[in-house]
Amino acid sequence: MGLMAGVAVACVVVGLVLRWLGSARWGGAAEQWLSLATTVIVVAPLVSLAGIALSASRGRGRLGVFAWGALLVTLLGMGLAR
Amino acid sequence: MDQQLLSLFAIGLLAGGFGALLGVGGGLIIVPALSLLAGLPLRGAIGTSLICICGSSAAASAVYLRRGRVDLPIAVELQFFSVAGAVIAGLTAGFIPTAPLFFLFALLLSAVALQMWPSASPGILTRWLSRLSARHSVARGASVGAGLISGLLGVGGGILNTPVLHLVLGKPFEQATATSSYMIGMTAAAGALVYLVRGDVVPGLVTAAMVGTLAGALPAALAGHRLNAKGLRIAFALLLLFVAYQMVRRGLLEI
Repeated sequence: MGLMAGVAVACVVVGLVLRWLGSARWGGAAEQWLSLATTVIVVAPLVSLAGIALSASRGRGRLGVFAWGALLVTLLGMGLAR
Repeated sequence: MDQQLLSLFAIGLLAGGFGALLGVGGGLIIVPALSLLAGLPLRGAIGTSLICICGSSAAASAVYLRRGRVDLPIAVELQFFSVAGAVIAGLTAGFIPTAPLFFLFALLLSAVALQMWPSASPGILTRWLSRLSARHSVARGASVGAGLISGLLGVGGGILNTPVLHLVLGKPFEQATATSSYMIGMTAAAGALVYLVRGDVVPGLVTAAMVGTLAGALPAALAGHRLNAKGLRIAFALLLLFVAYQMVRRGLLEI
């Protein structure tokens, strides 16, 4: 989680530097970096939960079921929102 | 534009610090600030708030997980129910009549706030909760409610998670706030993805507020254990009463 938060901040810094440079060419790239930061931060809890789901699948069945279930419901929600 | 980004950063900073200390996401500050001060449409403000909550949760949880303050089995189990609530709310936002919901939640929040007050003698709610034989079922139901609040209003859901973990499941307040901080990240992510996929969110504006929440949440999570639980409980009770008042106001406007 901390690592992904750090990556998101790094993406924001790159995006803001590119935006500060100001030209149209860099402007598009800046927006892409800022979008990437948003995606990274939203995906961070999912990655954490996926890690728990994977490790729990081996031993503690109940925990794994809830973790996989939460991931499945999230993906289902994304699919329906489209 | 730069001034707007700076003000969004400041809003995020305040919300992130406040959220990490109390185990809530900070959406209570972000949504009104973005819709009233920054002029974003409500859906955009809610989506942006949910993304910021992911940020503050990630920063705070990284600290809390390392310190072993998160009750992971409970968090993961309740997350399933709050995620389901958040996805349902995100998908049906706009179709659900909101006025009765506002009043119901205001009533619930006020009752919980009174119970959280440190000097309060065990009241009706605590006595009722202590007699519950199906505490886990109540906690699961409340988690669905937390998810619904999160997806509908853009708050983290910690306003319900923390009291449930503390009062219903008997977790120490510090552990309840840490576990709630972890839970709200996943709940907010589930709701945020729905808003993101629908295109309600402007990435450029999100990032300024998001960096603010990250910058605010990390020092608050690091220093939070130095604050006494009594102070945190008073702050949390006041926060709940404030939100209840805001909900009654919003409910009256909706009628």
